[in-house]
Amino acid sequence: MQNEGRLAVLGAGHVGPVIARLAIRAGYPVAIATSGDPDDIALITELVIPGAEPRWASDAVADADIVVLAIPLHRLTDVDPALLADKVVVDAVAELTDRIGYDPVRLGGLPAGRVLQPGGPVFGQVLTVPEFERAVHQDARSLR
Amino acid sequence: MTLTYTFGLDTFGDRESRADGTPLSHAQTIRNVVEEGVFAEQAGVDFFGIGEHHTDYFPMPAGDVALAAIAARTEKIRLGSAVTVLSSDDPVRVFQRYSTLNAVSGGRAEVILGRGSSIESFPLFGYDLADYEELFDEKATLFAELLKGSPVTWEGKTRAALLSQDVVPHLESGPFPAWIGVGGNPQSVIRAARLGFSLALAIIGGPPARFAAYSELFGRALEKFGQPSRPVLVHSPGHVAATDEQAKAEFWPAWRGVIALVAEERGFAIPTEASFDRETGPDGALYVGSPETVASKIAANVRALGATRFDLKYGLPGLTHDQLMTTIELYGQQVVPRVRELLG
Repeated sequence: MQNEGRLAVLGAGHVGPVIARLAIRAGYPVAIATSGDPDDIALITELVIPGAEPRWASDAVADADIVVLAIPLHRLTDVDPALLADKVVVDAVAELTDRIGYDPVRLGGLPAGRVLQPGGPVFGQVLTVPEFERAVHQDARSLR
Repeated sequence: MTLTYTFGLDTFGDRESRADGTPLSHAQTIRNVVEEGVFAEQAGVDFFGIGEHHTDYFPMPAGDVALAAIAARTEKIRLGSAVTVLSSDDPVRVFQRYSTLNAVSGGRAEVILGRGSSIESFPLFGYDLADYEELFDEKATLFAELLKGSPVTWEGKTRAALLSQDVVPHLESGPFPAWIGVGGNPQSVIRAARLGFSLALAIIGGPPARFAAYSELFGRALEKFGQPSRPVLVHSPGHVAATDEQAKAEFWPAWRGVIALVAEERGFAIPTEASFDRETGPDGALYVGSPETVASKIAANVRALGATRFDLKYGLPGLTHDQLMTTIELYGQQVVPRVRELLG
């Protein structure tokens, strides 16, 4: 499988390490970061996410093509959206309030190479599934 | 090195039912939990834990009161919280209550501190979920100081500062065992090690062996922080009956019912019979079956996870007192001795 891009995973709690591990298994180079010193997550990385590189968040994001946000919703204000401007951002922060569990939402056809913009109607929001579907398609239209 | 294993039973004060399925009152459920704690000692169980909950189906927010009632009627069984929701409580008050339980019971108290995977206590006591992490971090730090004995000096944002404060009642013979409950966040494991708490792994779904990395992380972090070696405990749900078929038939409708209840707020998937079969099988997290089935699974996972204590979370809303007493008896009299045999 051809792998595209370097991953930066922000957040080393419940979700970040799991996504990072799966990405490593799929052959992606992965940097993992929190809001603090990478030395503080060296042990977690060695034992729970072997193969990932702990880095300062700004360095990880700067060198990445894909940024995974796996931080609590109220910490989103710590992330400077300008740093994410030319990245693919995977938002594990947004909450769907009427969906139980982690079943995927089928969004239908979207333009290739689209990006959900920080600051846009989907990014880091708390939405119902219909609101989410509308917001994604609205986002997609705004890129054309 | 010979390891010493201990075995406990935990409850959330799950609201019990009569044989016809009608629920008992909150008060009768609480009285039944006290009987179950007393019976657990007779059955040979080492520890009985009560987990703080604030709902109609887990009406047990003041488990330490029930533990004191059990202490008065027992001699040896250790008694503790599983868990105390520290984030929405006052660490000084928690210390005072459990130091008092320790006095009443002649030194048998323990606490397992949690952040609150159920969050009812946050709005109930006026706390903001945005402060979830900070509340627990500060309060756990203060609790660690309180365990060292008085006088205590501490300051933070989440409660009033203490300056050489004498906090009573003084511990009679040093700190009682204190654990931090971890559900899967590796940073919580690091915190437990840094503050010198023991580690309680709450494993309620999926293959338990995947938590082995967390046990190893805990041990390495204890070394890194210069802390003495501390034990690892595994807490998982279960139910014991004469046969696998009977245990599963009793447990399944209640399990599906309670997960459906909590699914909306926690995002759990509604279990199916297929997922239940996986979870009650050798690679799952539910210890439901005959004494032999449950014992083999406990022994395998305790070994795989480097744990020296296993607490079975028994009971579910909708089960009967008789079913719970049977689980307790079979657990203490058959499961635990068999696990000890298997662990050598």
